[in-house]
Amino acid sequence: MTEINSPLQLLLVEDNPADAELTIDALRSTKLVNNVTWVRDGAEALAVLHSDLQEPDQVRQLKLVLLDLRLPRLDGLEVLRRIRAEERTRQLPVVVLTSSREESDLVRAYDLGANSYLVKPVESEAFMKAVAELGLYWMLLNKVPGEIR
Amino acid sequence: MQHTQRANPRAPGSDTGTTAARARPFSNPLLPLAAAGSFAIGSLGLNWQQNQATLSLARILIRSQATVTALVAVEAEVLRGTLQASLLRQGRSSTASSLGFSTALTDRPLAELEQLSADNPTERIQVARLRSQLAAHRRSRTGFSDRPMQATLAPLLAQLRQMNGAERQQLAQRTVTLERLQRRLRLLEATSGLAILVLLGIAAWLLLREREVIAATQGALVLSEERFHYLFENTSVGIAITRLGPGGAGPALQVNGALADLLGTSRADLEEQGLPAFLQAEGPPAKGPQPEAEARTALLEGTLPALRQTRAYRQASGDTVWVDETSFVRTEASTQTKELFSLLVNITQLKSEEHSLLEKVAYTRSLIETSLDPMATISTQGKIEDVNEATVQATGLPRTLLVGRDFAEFFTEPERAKASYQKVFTEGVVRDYPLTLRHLSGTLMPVLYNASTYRDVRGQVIGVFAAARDVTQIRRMEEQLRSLNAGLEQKVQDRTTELSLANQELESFAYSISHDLRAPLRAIDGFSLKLVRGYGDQLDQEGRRLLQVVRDNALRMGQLIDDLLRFSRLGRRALECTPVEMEVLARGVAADLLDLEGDRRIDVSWGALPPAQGDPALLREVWLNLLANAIKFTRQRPVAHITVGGAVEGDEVRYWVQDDGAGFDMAYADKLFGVFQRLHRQDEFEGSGVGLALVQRILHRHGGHIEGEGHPDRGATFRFSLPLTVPPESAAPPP
Repeated sequence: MTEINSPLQLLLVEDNPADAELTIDALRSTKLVNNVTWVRDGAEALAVLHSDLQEPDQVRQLKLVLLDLRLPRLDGLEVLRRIRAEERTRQLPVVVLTSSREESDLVRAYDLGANSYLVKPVESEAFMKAVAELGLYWMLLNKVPGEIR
Repeated sequence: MQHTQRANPRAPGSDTGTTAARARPFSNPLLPLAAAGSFAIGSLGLNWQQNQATLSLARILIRSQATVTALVAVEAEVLRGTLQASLLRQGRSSTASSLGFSTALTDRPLAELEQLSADNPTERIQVARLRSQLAAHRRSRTGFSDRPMQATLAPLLAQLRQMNGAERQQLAQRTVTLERLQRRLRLLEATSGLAILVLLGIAAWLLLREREVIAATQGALVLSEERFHYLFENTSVGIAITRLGPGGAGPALQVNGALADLLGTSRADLEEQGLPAFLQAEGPPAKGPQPEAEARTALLEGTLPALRQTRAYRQASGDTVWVDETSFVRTEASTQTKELFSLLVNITQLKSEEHSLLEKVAYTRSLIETSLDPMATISTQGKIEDVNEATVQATGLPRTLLVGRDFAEFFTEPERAKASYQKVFTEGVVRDYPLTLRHLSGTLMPVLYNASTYRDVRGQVIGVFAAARDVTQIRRMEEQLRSLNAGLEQKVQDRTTELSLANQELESFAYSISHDLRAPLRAIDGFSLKLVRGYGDQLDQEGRRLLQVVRDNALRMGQLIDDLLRFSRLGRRALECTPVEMEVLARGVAADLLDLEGDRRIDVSWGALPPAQGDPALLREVWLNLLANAIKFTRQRPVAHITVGGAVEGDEVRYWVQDDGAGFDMAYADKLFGVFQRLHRQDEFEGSGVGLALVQRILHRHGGHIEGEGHPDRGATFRFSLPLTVPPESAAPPP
């Protein structure tokens, strides 16, 4: 599958390279998500999302943000808040993918408009499976405004 | 009969003048007698005088009568002689003799007349004239005279008749006078007789009356004596009468029964031995003046009229009798002998009561004196009336300087002190009234005054009793406590801040664990998997087994982290207590767990589980861990037997879970509830060692507890209890 028209299909915000690699592995294993942009902190994520250089179309091409909560510089919940505060990204699906099982994190994430909250399993097979299914669902099955024409 | 001597024992001689003060009808009974007497004597004297007058008048009368008689005789003779002479002259008679003029016949009456008129010159003259006329007449008659007989006779007769007439007139006058005198005399006699009669009457009356008075006096004396005897014998006062000789008191003259009873002896004994023999032997004489002994000596010597003493006597039985003894000395008026009267009243009972009363008073006083609190009584005017030793110590002033002074003077704020006791008078009491007492040296003592009014026996408020409590120490301690409290408060605040900081740190620490520690584990597992998948064909069996060990341990570590976080999270969670249907809860948990066990044969028998109070989510954790353990440790039994039960016991409810599984050694029972403490090897029974620690923590937070009992290979029983009402958690949730 070519990615000519959709350079920014999925944005992965993850500071841990191992997790990032395993996540990307899992997504790729589905053969569905090829176009993954990986940023390592919140500031970088926002720079990508809100850069004037980004064409509105390109943003529209973005189908999912996978957001870790523990991030250097700007943390995940703050990134989420700013995504929802910005008109262009207000409706962008954001799935929190984190190790935190803290109730408070869950509550705040949903309060801020997270579309889903996934706790990373320690067991890697379960992790890979969860991420793959997540990718399939959000990339293929989920519909966002403007997609159905 | 009046007894004037009774009340004052110091006035002796009670029987002198008992009859002196008698009421009499007259102040002097002789007065009427004298009056009557003098009247009678006067009457008699007058009578005698009248008598004498009468007698002399009678004598005069008799003389007058005789004079008249003599005159008549003279006249008769004269007339007869004249007649004879005439006859002779006429010759009728010739008898010479008859002519003889009998001088004898006229001389005798004439002599009488002269005798009768001897004391009357007028009459004597008359008689002398008569004699001369008579003589002249006689001569004429005889013829010797030249004068005729008729001539001499006529003047003679005239003279005679004049004298006779005068005499008769006198006689008549005197007779009248005599009669008058006689009448007066009779009257006087009658008056005298009457006076004498009156006199006799008065004398008789007086005599009778005197007799009556004597009889009455004698009767009163007898009655008085009887009364005295009755009194003497019946009085409860012991009486002894003793003669005082030159050597002091002798044997008793007379004692009464009361005295004998009082001394527990017989009268005879007492009269023989004398009262002093029964005196209690006195101790060694006290030094210094002995006023009592001196007074007694003075009494016995007669220089002191009476004496009253409290003395101790010894009864025949040896017991001591205390008496109030009144002694006085009476001097017998007639003989001048002295008698000692002793009146003894038994006051042993009073003495003993007095003694116990004194002891009580001394006891009470000693309590007041030994009190460490300054105490004082204050008059209604605010003056100190009495103080105890503590007050003397607190003020530094002796009692003599304290008593009489104004209570308020001794405080730093006299006005407030005054207000304090005035408040007591109006309200009856003050409690813990703070004042500051000033010592003579200037030292101040903070005190709390407690005071109330006190009353006399009639209930009249007569003052205030005030007791101060020295609160110097208390004030100092309060100050210390205050600063300590302030410090403590600060410390608590600091600790609370620290705690809250620590909690925050812990929070972020737990967050870090949950987030950051899992990532490497996931990496280890993930990359091991990647290695197996990517390069599995280049590894031999052992190589793949080793990689599997790496992955197992990574997973186990993940489990440990999860359990630890759960332990921390549930432990910190705020309790939300509600009534909990324990049976529903436990059965639900058991059903979930049994579902996971597939075809294992597990026999669970249920007893009734009473409802409890608690946080349902946390109590669920309790059942989950206990039941999971029971299922886990019975894994090797072909048929597992698990018993679940509960009961209310007192103010708590107990539950138990019993199994017939692997059990444990009671030697390690103390490790059952420690975090990460395990009694079984990991290859026997997996687990993190957090479950029971979590259970215990939850139960402790509910105010409950848990205990375990087990035997190796014979099963285990866990009993836990919850209070029927969960106490509110006072502190912040523990970390």
